[in-house]
Amino acid sequence: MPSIIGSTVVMNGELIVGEDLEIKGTFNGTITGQSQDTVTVRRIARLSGEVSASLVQVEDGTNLENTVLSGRIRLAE
Amino acid sequence: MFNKKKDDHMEYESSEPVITTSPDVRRRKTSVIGPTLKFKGELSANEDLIIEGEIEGTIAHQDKNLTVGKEGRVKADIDARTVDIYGKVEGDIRGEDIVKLAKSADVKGNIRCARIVMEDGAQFSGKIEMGHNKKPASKPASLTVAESAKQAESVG
Repeated sequence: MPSIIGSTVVMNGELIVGEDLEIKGTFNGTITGQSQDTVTVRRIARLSGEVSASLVQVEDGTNLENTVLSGRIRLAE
Repeated sequence: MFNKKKDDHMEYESSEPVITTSPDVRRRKTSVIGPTLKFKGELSANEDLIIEGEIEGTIAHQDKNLTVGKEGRVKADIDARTVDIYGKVEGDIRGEDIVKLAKSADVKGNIRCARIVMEDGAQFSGKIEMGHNKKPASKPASLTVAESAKQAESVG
């Protein structure tokens, strides 16, 4: 079962990820991926802060204001 | 009976049928904090939540179901409709309906709920307070009837 932050979830803080993660909800803070993990950011997600992972996949149309992405970034439709 | 085939959706072994994660729950909108995730901060949600990772801080999770899986380690107060615990929890738990502690559960904190199920082998250190935990209904029944009549009027 992959990790999923659902659309009604609001997280404020620091998250360390050691597996693939899908974000549909609200996250304010820092997300740090380890090894070969993919962080997928869905269009409905609201991010603020920093996302760092081996691969950050961002759905087209996602609002990334106030967000810093690092790692390999891929825009997906 | 004893050779019953295991449900594919079942994740947790239990000798008793008391505590299970039903396939119905799996089909509902559910967030999953996987076993390698570590989160420090505030978490709130309005959907079912399964925690297999580490959470430290606060969890505000009213009106939905929260499961702390076998690998789950939570250092936070928990507030949810139903709470199923298979892993470790340090903090107070408030279950509006039922709190279930599986045999693998290790809970340090106080529990306040309407009903509780504690499997043989579960470790618990704290105080349990039961009853008078239900929230008042959000809408009185008469309002719903009035609304239905209004809708029928507008259609008719």
